[in-house]
Amino acid sequence: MAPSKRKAVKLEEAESDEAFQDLFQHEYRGKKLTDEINTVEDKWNLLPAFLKVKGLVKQHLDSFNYFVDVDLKKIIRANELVLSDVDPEFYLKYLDIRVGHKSSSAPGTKEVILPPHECRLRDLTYSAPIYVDVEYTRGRKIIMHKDLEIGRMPVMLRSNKCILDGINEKQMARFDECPLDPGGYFVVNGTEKVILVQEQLSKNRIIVEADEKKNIVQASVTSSTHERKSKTYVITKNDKIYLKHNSISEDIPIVIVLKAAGITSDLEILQLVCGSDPQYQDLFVVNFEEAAKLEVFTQQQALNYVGKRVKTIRRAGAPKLSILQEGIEAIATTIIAHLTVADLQFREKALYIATMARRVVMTMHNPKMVDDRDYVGNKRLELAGQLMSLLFEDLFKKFNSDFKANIDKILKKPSRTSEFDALLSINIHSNNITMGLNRAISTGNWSLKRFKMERAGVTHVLSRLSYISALGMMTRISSQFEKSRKVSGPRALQPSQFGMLCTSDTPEGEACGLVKNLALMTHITTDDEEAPIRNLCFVLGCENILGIDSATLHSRGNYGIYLNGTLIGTSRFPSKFVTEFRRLRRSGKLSEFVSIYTNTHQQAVHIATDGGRICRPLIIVKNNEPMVKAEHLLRLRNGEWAFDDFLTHGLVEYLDVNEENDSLIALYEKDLDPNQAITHLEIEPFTVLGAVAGLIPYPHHNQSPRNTYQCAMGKQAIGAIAYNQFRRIDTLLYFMVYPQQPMVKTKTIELIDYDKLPAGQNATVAVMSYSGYDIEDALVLNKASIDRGFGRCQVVRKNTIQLKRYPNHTKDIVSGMRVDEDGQPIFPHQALGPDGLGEIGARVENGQVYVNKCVPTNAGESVLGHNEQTPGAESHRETPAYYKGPEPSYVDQVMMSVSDNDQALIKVLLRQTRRPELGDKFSSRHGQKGVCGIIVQQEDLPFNDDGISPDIIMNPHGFPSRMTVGKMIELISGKAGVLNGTLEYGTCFGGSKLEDMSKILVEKGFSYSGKDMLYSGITGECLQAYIFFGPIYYQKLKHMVLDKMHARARGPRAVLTRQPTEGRSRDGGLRLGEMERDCVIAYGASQLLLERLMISSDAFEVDVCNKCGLMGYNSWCTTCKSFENVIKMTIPYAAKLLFQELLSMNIAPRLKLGDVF
Amino acid sequence: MSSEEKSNPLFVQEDDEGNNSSPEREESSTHKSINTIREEPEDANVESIEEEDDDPIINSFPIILNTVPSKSQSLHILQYPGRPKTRLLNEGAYKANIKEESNYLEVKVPLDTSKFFNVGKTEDWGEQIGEQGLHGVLNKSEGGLYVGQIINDGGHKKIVLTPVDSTAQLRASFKYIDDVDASNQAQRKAEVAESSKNSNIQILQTAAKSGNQITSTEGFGNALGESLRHIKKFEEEHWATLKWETSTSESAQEIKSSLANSADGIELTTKANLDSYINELTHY
Repeated sequence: MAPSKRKAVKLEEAESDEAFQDLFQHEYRGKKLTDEINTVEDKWNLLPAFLKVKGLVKQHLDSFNYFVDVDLKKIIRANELVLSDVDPEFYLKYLDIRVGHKSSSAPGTKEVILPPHECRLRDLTYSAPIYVDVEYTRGRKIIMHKDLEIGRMPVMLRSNKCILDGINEKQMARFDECPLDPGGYFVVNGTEKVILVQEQLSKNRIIVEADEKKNIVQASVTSSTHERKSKTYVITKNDKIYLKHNSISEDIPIVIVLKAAGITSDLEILQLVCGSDPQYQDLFVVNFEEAAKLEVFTQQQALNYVGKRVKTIRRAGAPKLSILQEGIEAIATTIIAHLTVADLQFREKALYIATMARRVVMTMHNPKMVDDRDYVGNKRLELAGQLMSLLFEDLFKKFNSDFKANIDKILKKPSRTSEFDALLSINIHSNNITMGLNRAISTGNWSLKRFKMERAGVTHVLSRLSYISALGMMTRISSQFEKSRKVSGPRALQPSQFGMLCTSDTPEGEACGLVKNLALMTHITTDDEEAPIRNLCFVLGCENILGIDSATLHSRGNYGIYLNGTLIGTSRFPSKFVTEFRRLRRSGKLSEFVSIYTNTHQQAVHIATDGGRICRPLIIVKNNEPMVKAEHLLRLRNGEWAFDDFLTHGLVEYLDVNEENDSLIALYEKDLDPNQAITHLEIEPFTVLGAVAGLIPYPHHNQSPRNTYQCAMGKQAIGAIAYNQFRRIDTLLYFMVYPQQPMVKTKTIELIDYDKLPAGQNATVAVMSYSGYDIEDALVLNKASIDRGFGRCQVVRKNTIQLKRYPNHTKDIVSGMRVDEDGQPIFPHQALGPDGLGEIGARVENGQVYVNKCVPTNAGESVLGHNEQTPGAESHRETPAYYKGPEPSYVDQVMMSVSDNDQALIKVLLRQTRRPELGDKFSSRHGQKGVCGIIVQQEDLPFNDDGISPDIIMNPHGFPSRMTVGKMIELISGKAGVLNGTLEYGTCFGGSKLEDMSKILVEKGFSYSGKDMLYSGITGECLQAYIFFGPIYYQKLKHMVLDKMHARARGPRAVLTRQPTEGRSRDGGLRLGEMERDCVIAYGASQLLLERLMISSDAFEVDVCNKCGLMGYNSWCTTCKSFENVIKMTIPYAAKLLFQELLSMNIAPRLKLGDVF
Repeated sequence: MSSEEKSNPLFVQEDDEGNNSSPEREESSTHKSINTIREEPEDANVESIEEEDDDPIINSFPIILNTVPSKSQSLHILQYPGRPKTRLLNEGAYKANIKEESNYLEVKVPLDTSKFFNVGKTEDWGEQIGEQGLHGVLNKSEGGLYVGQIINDGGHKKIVLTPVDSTAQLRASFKYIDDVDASNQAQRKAEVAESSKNSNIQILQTAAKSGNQITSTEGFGNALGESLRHIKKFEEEHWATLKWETSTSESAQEIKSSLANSADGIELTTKANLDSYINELTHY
């Protein structure tokens, strides 16, 4: 079926943006094309345009695309040659690499094994072949071989290697895919895996820190190259400065390092580190004395000094280096490894070390010059592509060394029968790359040999609880920071995260502040080429660092120009330089994601082209006028322009956190103050929140933690998952039966399509007390509402059965049902059909079978010696899959397929439909959760003049301490919307105004305040107070009583301890713990404890030897070898176990017995 | 050869660059001529296109491109950091050596022993130190640097540009100290060898690891790291001697004048428009 589908894809024009179509339609939100465009209010239209181009998971896709299109080629180039130790003539060279298409295939071909949904169902990996072009020698000839498959690469869904890229909604439907599904994850062995975004301190940058108590200043830089990762420190010790590196056994005085790097003159060192500042000179001067004391004057002496202290780790076979060579190697490649020393030019490296020393001296002089580790500008995000690239390079290197070993083995043979063809041995281990990638993604263990790095928990299973939980997972950022450490800094809200990371969405508890979420309008950069930027800098008037002498480097007004943290030159006109550079960027001449900013404290202009920076678009303001005008927005609305046109026309630009710090950004147009040099204007203030926090109506009226609580709970709400939800067979899925879009929406809700896949229902809420079963946030539910479908949900659970094949050619089978005398199926087989599988729609009760699997009785027997047995005469034993659970389920789907290893795979999906019951958990969108306390007949509930009775009654005590004013406004807006026939907006920092809503209420004959007069359903009397009454969007959360309820009288016990098992899933006991025991003792019922905890449960009769005090058996003491003195007594089994365990560790607890009476 | 002395006395701000009276010395050999007149900070092309409204045109000059007279010659800028401006470069006998493959230049400059010179130290070292070795790596400018001369040709001013091949910063290497160290060490080694000769050590068994255990993919022939290979290449290469000419010498003057005048006189005009120029710059 797949080929025909693929053809269909090609036929139709690629249009994947139908979801956005209505945002661009002629009449949208009551605005027609002809309506006047108000720049101030309509500039938010840039946001859907941005999301149309970028999407919410664009960072993952961009990063993966960059990996497969650019990074792979770089890796190939870095490891292009495979040579043989035996035959010097032999070589194999990689020329090119491609994923998913051959060199001959037509452009746009996407070769993947199967459509992604089929991979999900059949437990396969959604992957594409990796092809390489190679050139190698065979005998005398050089042979080119194209399209050699070296493995399979898991493909990220919706990336440019995925068949879902650029197809429209209809074609998506044919692939059984949901058009709203954002993609950005992998399907590995049938499970959806996300590589979470990792946050790290930026690489190859100097970070200066100070410990004022210990009087230590340290500048550190983490160098990261393809080969190695290492950290170099410049630290102070007793006010002297040293260089520290892992591979050098002791700290080297900074002057010696600089001399080793070729700056032999003390004068020059002083000029490079201190400039002409006498205070810096005074601080630094001690360091010269140290070098002089050690009698290091020349470069060679310094190199020898360093070389002597290098920790040598030599690979086998490598030649032993002299001390001098060790020193050169250390300075040239080990220290600050990301700078390469070309030829003999050590100058750049020397300057880098000098810069580090200078930063240390500056911080010693003024402790405020330290860098902030938690500043978002000093962070880089590591995405799927980067992690995959690290892993792939490791596997590729392994692949090549295995290949080389293979070749050598063959070439070593003195006589070969046929001419040696290297390709014959390359295919043998081609499984390595495929398996390596699969295993890493499916287990989340990233082990990189060359960095000696082991990282666990990199990938997570994509949570499919609801659409929003999947989306929330894709925008999540996890920090490498240790959770258990008690420092507040990394967890605190950083001012610099404004607009970049969501201010509300973070979990509570141990990961609070360490797990973050991206804001709505952000982009994460990928690496950009450095070389053209460097050339451009020189053209723009930057003087090359190699032509600058040390005295002028730090002279006043001379700004250093740093490209990705490395000094490349200086400029005396930094502001001109920066302006020119920005102009080029705004005109689209260089990548819009290159950032440039001035740091006056360091007299530096920093240019960053590296990947992993968060940036966001802002409107450029010139002469106090925003560049985006009404005409531009009109073009956008007419579809003439896309978001990128705003970039290329220089109206909007991306700023990263560092450049943002160099700008003055107005929130609203009204803030454009001619007295301030405002450079940018915010596109929409509500983009400070992320996708999940964007669901909250009127969040700016809520107490901040409530928004955070809602962010956690929004991900637990049951709702619609995807358009293909009924085609999915997942381990556990929850569907809401009648989900509704909220009455009070936000712009974010529309942008992320939450209104198409909602998770909740609009409940009519009365805020009042009722029945007393509403204490502690409990809710009163209307039984009639539940009958009508309020809060009803379905739970489907997957059960997998594999039919195995055994080495002796026997295999598992499914046998049909068994019948009793009357010809009726026996009770356990009632749900089965004649094929032995559960029938669709059949009810399965506890103890019934849904797949009647049978195992051959002789499966374990050896393959040999049983040849006389005919395969037909196998005998089987039933090992059926029983259904277990308090409530019956219904068979929803049965799927039978063949998995990777040719074994039959049966998946049975069992469904339960649940109506709300006592104890089920609900929440509004304001962090106000509550369980159902009582379900009341509709006739007993209060009703208003129109006869409307509430679906939910909420206790008013929920409001004063929680201060969720947004919830009240939601109620009023919702009520006005219901009466008016409109959907109202509760967008953050905007939305429908309370005054307007009140006006509508008054017009429709209601009180402006949203309070109604209600009548008691019991007495029919009018209630004493007006009741706050109206619709509020309620979510049903996944915590349901049915999954949790548990009780046991007697049951299984653990073998070792003879104590009851633990946990609901093991039918465990309920523990009477230490504190409960204390209560009983305090009550004076200690005999009760004796009876319940020992006599009638844990009693055990032991034989104790009164002489040695140890335990024996059968009235025999093994220690004393006698029957004498052995006494029977009863002790708890736990005590006996303790004694024995103590004995096993060489502690002899001896019992001394005395008479009771 | 004229050297624009960029290194100033300690902590003196870089002043105006027009120190045209700086001593010039010409050095030309059969295959190489090193000549610098004045460093032009920016490519002249850039000036013409990066025009701004607040940056009006004051004057315009024709620009003429020149080359060095002979193909075997090239132009280099030599900088002497760590040498005060007041100390001129035209005294005594200068020697220059080059390792062309490694781009490494050595200039031997006579040492001024009259001031700040510790005669006692030289006696300790037992070596006659009469000259200072200045070393530096030649950094290829890759077509980005030009020497420009403003020539007043009878009222018509013109700028003659000549491409600079490379720049180099020359620094003292104190080789004599290393030599002393080396001789000391050799002596010590000899002594150790002497003393250990008498000891009665018998070698019972020796084992050598076979060389085919290199497992890394690049292991073959790449036992040394890249930088060490450069050093090795550098050490294996022989010094080629260059002839040093003072700026007052005849040949130097000749070259200097040819640089100023021998140009074909064709005025440079720009064919590229601003857009294509910028595209050229920014696209890699």
